[in-house]
Amino acid sequence: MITLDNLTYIYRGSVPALNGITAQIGPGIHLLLGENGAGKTTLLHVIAGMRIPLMPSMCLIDGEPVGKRLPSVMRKVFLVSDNMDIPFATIEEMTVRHAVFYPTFNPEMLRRNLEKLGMTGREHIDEFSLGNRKKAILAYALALGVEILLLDEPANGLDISAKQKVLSMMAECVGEDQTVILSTHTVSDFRQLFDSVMVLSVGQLMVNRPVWEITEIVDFVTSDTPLPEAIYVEQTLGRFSSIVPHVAGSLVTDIDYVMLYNAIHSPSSGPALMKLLNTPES
Amino acid sequence: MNTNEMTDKFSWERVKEVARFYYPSYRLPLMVYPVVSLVFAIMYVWLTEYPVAFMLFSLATAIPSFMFYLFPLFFCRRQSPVTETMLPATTAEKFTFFAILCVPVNGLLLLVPSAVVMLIAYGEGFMENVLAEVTTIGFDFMAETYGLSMMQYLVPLATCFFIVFSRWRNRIGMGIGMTIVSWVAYSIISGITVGIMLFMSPEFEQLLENAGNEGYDVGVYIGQRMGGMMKTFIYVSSAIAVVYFSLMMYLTYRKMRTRQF
Repeated sequence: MITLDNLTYIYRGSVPALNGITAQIGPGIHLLLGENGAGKTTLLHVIAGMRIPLMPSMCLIDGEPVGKRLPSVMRKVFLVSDNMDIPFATIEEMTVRHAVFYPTFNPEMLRRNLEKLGMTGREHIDEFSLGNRKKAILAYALALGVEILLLDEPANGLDISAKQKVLSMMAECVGEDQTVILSTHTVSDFRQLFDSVMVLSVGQLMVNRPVWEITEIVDFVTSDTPLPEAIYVEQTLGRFSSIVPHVAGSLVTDIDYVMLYNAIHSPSSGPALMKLLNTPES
Repeated sequence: MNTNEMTDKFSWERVKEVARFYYPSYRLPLMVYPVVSLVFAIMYVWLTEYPVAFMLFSLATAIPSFMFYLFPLFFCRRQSPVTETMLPATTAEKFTFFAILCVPVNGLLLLVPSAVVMLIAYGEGFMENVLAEVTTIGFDFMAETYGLSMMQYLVPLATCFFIVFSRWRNRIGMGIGMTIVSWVAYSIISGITVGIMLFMSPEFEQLLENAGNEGYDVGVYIGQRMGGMMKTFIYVSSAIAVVYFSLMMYLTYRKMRTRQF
């Protein structure tokens, strides 16, 4: 369990990159959304212990401050960052020199993951393309079996079939007790996986709700004419996509992450939508 | 390691794991340093036969010295700040490994092969013999204080160590630059200290008076009369080096604890 308690992080001589974030993040796959510079990567770095917040108690993993980088805490968390360097020649070497620190590492799962990607683990990482490097490290990270897996733009550099393979790997490997926070700008790549949505804006957490709760608060509907009750409307090819308040008893609709994101960031609909989404009793 | 029994207390087992993690970074110097040291030691012995090649002689001593100073730079190879920062080991364990490898192991990699060559070339008590070959002007105190004077090597090493392990960016450029700066600064401070000590010595005037006399060897005079004073100087400068080294080690540890990506 990740506990963020008024989490604030300030880069030297700058405005706060993270500003008073309070949240409890439990098991599940969480989508982290936000515009460029919203603080997504900084948040992932703080949770991974790579950046230390103003006070260590602002970010806890299972009650322990992650900023102290205790081995018992650090073995529970792993971050796959965008364009991450791998300090070893092969994935096989990485398992010998790095995976030994993680008691949850599952070599059989790694073998299966690599096989799915058409790799053996003995290929030289230096000779990999960006996409293949990303695939290899994702296969490895999933096999580590850590309690908290942080993925920063995991779909970057992956081709269409690779995205599908990574998606199926994630669906297969992520256990019920694991927490995955996935930050991406291409939401559609992993849309089937998400259990909850977190939206960051200018260092503040605007929304943090499970998907099923959001779908019980608002509906995402498409119609030929604008709906009068719509909180937010987008017009595409003569049709209107709207976010409307959910009517109790009616069927829930699939969440449209892109529209939700746009609506939250729209000056006209944002405040009303956020008020709705952040109402505990709704 | 049985990581299931992992605690947050210092563990030598985990230090070994850290060593294994970083092996790709220091594999190269483990192989290359003894060979280079051997080559330069042979060159050194050979050059003592030819005093005319004095410049090469300096090179033969300077290059292994700089190899010693700059050893921490190997940790900038194959770097991955993300993986390194998240490594589940305490700062004390990581620091212990870096310190052991960069100081005693690094020293032994360079000293042992060269000592073997010297032993073969000059026999037991080779240091005195080498100095007798090289100086011929009676710096006997140098042989006596040779071990102690090696402390001065710790100053540039500690600087490079601090730069490499306290920051993530521009470590190579800064490491080389600051190592040279600290080496030059320490040499200047040492030179000034020697100068002041020499100048304030009551024997200095006598030295100046005798300097013009025919057949008077200034070097022999310094070696014989100033030996005691120089020994004191070496004690003092070595103490300064040890204090500086300890301080930099402490600062490195502190920085490592809070180093951010």
